[in-house]
Amino acid sequence: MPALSKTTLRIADGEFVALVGPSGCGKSTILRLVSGLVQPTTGVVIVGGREVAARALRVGMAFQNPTMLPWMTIERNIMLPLKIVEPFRSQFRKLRKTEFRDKANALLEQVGLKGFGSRFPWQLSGGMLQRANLCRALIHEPRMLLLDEPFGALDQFTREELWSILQDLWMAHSATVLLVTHDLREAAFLASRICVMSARPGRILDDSQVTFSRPRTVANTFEPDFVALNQKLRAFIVDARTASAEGAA
Amino acid sequence: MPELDFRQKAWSAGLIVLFFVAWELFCLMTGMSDLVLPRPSQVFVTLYQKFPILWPHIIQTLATTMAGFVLGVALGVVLGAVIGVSKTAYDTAYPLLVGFSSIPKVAVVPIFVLWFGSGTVPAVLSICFFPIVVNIATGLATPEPELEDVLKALGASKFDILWNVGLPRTMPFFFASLKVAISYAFVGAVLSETVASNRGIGNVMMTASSNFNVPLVFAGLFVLAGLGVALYVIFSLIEGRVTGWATRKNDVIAT
Repeated sequence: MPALSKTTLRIADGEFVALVGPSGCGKSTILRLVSGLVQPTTGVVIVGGREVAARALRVGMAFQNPTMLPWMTIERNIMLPLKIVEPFRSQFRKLRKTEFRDKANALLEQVGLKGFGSRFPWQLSGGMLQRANLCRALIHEPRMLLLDEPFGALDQFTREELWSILQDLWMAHSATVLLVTHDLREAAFLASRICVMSARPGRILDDSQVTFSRPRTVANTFEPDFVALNQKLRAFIVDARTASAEGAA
Repeated sequence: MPELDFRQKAWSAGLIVLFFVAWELFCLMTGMSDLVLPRPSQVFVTLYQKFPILWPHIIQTLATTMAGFVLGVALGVVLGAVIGVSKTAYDTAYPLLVGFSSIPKVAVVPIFVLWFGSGTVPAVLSICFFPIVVNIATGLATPEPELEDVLKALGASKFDILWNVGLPRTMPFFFASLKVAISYAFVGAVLSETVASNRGIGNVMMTASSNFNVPLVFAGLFVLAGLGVALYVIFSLIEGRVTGWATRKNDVIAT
C-alpha cells in the first residue's frame, strides 16, 4: 500500500504550514519527499519551480532527536551545515573563527542560549538541545525549514516555551516552514495554515487558514476561537481514525 | 573529586604491596624451595643483577610487539573501514570475524611458524588486528538516521558524512580497541618468542626454566607484567586525551 494516495499540496513562499493527522498517515513521507530524501513513486514534487533533487535544495531539517554530535561544542555543532553547503563550504576554513562563529552565536542569542556556544551537548537539557537543533537547521539560511515533531519529546512547559521561540524565529527569518506534529495546540499556535490528513494511504481532508494575529501567546490558546479550532481539527482526526479502523475490519 | 581519587590510588598501591609481602611471608613460613616458588625479594635481586643481560631482550620483545602492533593496526583499520562503511558488508562479514577472533591465539602460532619460520612478526600481526577490525566496523556502522537525513537534505555526500560524523564517532571505539590490541600484540610477541625464537624475554624465560633458574623465570615474568602495564597506561592516557568526550557524560554541570 502506498504511503500517500492522490495528494496535492501547494505551499506559498513564507507560509507556515502544519501537517496533522493520525499516526502512520504519511506526514513524515511528505517531509521526506519535499526534502528530496526519497523520490515519489508516482507524481512530482516541485519546489521553487523545479522538480526536487536534494543536492539543489539544501533545506533545513530538525527531528525530535536533536542529534548534536557529542565531541563538538554547541557552536561547532550549529556550524556543521556550513561545512557542507556552498557557498559557505569553500569559505569555512577562513571564516569559521570569525564570521560564522558570530552567526552561530547570533542565532543562539535569538533562541535564548546566549553564552552556551562553548558548552558541550551533554551539558545542556533536552529543551536547550532542541533550541540548538533549530539553530543548526537555520544557520545556512535555508528558504525552507522542515520540522518532524521537533518538540515531541519535551515536557509541556518546555514545549510551549519553544513554540514562542520558533514563532519568533519564523517571523525573523521568513523561511517557509512545514511542520509535522501530533499536537493540535502546537499546530494552531504556530501555523498560518493547517492541513489535516487521513489515515494511510494519506490524503488531505481539510486545509484551513489560521488567522489569529501574531505574535501569539500561550494564553491565546485558551481563548474560545482557538479552542473551537482545536475541536474542529480533533473531530477530523477522530473521524479519520474510525474510518481507517472500519476499513481494516 | 581529587581526594577520593587519591584514596582509591592509595588503596590500590597498598594492595600491591600487601600481595608481595604476603607472598614473601608465605615462602618464609612454609620453607618453600626457590626451585618451586622463589621469594619476591629473590626475584627482585635477580632482576637487578641480571638486568644488563635482560635489557637487549626487553628491547627485542618491545620491538616485536610494536612492529606487530603497527602492522596489525594498519591492517585492522583498513579492513574495519571497508566492512563498516557498508551495512551489507558488515552483516555479511561479521560472523566470519567472530569466528576468527574466537580462535585461541596460541593455536595459530605453530601454523605461522610452519609458514614463516621462526620470525615473530607474522604471528603477532595475526592476532592483534581482530579487535581493531571489529571495533572500527562497529563504530562506523552504528547509525544515527536522523542526523544522516539532516545532512543528506543539505546535499552532503557519503564522504562528507563519513568525514564529519562517522570517523569522529569511531574514535572511542578505535582507542578502546588499541588498548586491547597492544595487549594482544604483547602476548603474541612473547608467545612466538617462547615457541620459536632465540631472542626476547619469552625465550629468556624458556631457557632459564630448562636450566632450573627459577628466580630468573620469575624475573622475566615481572618484566613482562611491568611492560604490559606500561603499554596499557600509555594507550589509556592517549585515549583519555583524544576521546575524553565519550566518557565525560557523568559530570553534567548545573544550568
